[in-house]
Amino acid sequence: MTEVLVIGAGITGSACAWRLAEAGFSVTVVHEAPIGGEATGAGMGHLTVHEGEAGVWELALAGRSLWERWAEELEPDIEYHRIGTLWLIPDEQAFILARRLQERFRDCGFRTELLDPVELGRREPHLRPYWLGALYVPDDATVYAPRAAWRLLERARARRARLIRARVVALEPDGVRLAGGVCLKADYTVIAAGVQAVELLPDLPVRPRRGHLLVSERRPGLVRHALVSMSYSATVESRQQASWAFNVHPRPNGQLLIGSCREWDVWDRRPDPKWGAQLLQEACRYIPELATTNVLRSWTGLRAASRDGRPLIGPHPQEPCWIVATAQEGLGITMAPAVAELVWAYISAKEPPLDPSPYRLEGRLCPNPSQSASTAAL
Amino acid sequence: MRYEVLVIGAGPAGLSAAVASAREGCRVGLLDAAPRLGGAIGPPTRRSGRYGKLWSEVARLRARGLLEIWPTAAVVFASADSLCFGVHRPGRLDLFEAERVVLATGARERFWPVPGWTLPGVFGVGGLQALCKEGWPISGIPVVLAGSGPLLWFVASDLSRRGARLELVLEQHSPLRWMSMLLQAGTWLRIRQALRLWKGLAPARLRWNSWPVEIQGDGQVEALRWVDARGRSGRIACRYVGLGYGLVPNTEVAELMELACSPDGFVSVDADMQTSRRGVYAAGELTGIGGMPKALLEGLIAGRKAAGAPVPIPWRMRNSLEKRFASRLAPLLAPRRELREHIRAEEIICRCEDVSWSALMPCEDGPTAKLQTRCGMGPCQGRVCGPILQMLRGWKLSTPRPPLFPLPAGLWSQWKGV
Repeated sequence: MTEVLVIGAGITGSACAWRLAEAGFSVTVVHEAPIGGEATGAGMGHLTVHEGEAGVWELALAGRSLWERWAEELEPDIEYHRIGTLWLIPDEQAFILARRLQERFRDCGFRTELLDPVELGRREPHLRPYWLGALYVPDDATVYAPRAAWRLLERARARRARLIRARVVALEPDGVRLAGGVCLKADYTVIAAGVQAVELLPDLPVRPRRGHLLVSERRPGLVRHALVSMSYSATVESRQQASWAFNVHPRPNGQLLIGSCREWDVWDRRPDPKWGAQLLQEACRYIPELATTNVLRSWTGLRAASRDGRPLIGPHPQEPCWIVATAQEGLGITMAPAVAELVWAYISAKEPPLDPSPYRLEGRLCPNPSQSASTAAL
Repeated sequence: MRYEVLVIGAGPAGLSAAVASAREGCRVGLLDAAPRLGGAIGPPTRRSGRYGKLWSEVARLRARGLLEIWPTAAVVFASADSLCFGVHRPGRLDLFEAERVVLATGARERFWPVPGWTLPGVFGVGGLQALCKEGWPISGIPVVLAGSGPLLWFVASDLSRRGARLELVLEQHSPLRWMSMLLQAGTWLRIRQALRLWKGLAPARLRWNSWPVEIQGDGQVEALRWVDARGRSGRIACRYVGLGYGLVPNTEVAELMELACSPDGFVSVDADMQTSRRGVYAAGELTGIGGMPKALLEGLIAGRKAAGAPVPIPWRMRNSLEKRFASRLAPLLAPRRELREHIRAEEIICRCEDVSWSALMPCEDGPTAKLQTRCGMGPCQGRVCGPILQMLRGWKLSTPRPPLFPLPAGLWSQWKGV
């Protein structure tokens, strides 16, 4: 039987483990952090699609539709809720963007609706009437990602997958070496370690892109949809060191998640209250009632981002049995089921469900590892 | 606000430190999250004796402009890189800066998930006493207290003095066990104090070596079932239950400042009460649960050192005795083995997020429990369930993150930092 090691128990690693175990491979998941404890647990769990570099749209699209199947199959405690996204339109330019986005969604068979300010006010009565309108994507959902990762691994375990809590210190041609010197043998190794993949493969063009998030006390009904400013995709594509956009979601229990920002190349996980202030300034400007709402906690997460903005999924050119699956940036949760399909296709030499070429590693590695994100900072 | 010495926490240790620093001529700021000075736990504010002298000193130094006091001021932001703090007062969020800092954030009660502990009418012993101090009617009401140690005995005698019908006091250890600890590590003062408290409690009402097994009631406490070490058991009707199984230090500010802590969760200090960071001192329950005498002395040492003044050698010697007492007291206050072994599967451990003991079972560590069950993610940020899980499973839920207390979004949005 083909042995596969999966490094990382975030949403990507868990999805791969389940997919591969189901396909009959002998799977071992090695993880150091708690299940879903890194970027998976730090994010908002927003299942959405937005424009980006080549291949980003397609992978997110595939992931989102696979999530609909997962939602039916996995337990309800993954908290999959179709709350819908309102892409808020701040100016004329964004309006044009929204129209283009709507067409693209329509071509893919998505339901969308362009809301005027009156209709937007009806759907989100607490939102300040500042926006020119919104593009409504009703079938977008949110999910509690760390729980989903747990449930996926539970299923993988039911298919004989093993879980090992250990730190991987090196990749070998036939497996991995753990801290303490133990070696695990495998035919394939899937590197689904998010931004920490650069510790194992310094030539990967992966850099951390830190985000801050806040969570408020329960305010049921204050916000009803995932609210995202159209300027959000500009922050994703931004090359500037720091960028942010208005982004507020309700949690199922009525708490609000308030984001979101991006900082290139910051490894420090300690939250900075100044970022909290920045995000809250935006949020309170657009949802005035938020000002009197208590914020309970802030935290950070490190998105794995590639230099060119495209995910890195595929065999490593130097060692084809190392299958890399990282750099989904802010769309890791949405993309996870599709990434698992690609990884499965590589390992079982089957036809992938979507064109894998935009994500391949060939020609994208850093020949000189020092150009890659500095791991010395870890 | 900028001070030469900033004292965080205005209980016995903080007051003592603030006075000691201000007496040396330093400009001192003293802040506390509570509206009144004197600390959260322990005896009522006595304006006589050694503690009384402290209060008159506070008044004198305030009048001289050396000491500034900020009540209802909670530290919400702290940093590992500078001595700057975000301080939340009603309607305000201010930056407090200091050259030296004394942390005296004290301790809170350790709650214990005795079956039925979430029923209305169940309190911590300290909380129940504080309510009565505020004028909560207690006279003639049947009360059962359960727990361990001086705070339990003190609250028992205080409540009965206030007219509560004290049905039963369940002390989990025997008088012999307590006496041998006090003889080994106590001072004569403490032994005398213990004997006086025991004598004050009617013997029929004080049960040694016994503990509660279930609090019963339908929407409100109605009765408590107990057992003792010899296997005897009983049921007693009551309206209120006070539980007192020790105290846990409020280390949140210290942790955000990334100060070194001992394995048992206290802030590590040297003989001068200095923490792992230069210019940052800690005093009182934060360095070990030892009550008022320890807090006053440590505050004095920390305050003097923060002001750059020398500390007499006899103080240090006494302080090491107090430390020894604190380290021997801790294991006697923690809930005994029998209490730890009988947690019902359906018992709620995290009250903010309604997480039961059975939901926590499959988790292998604190961060996993937090992520998978949302245990400790509610408004109290794990202040109640964290110490329970620390004791039951040896878990640490996670390090605290800003804000340390719930903070209105509008105030935070104006935060500029340094």
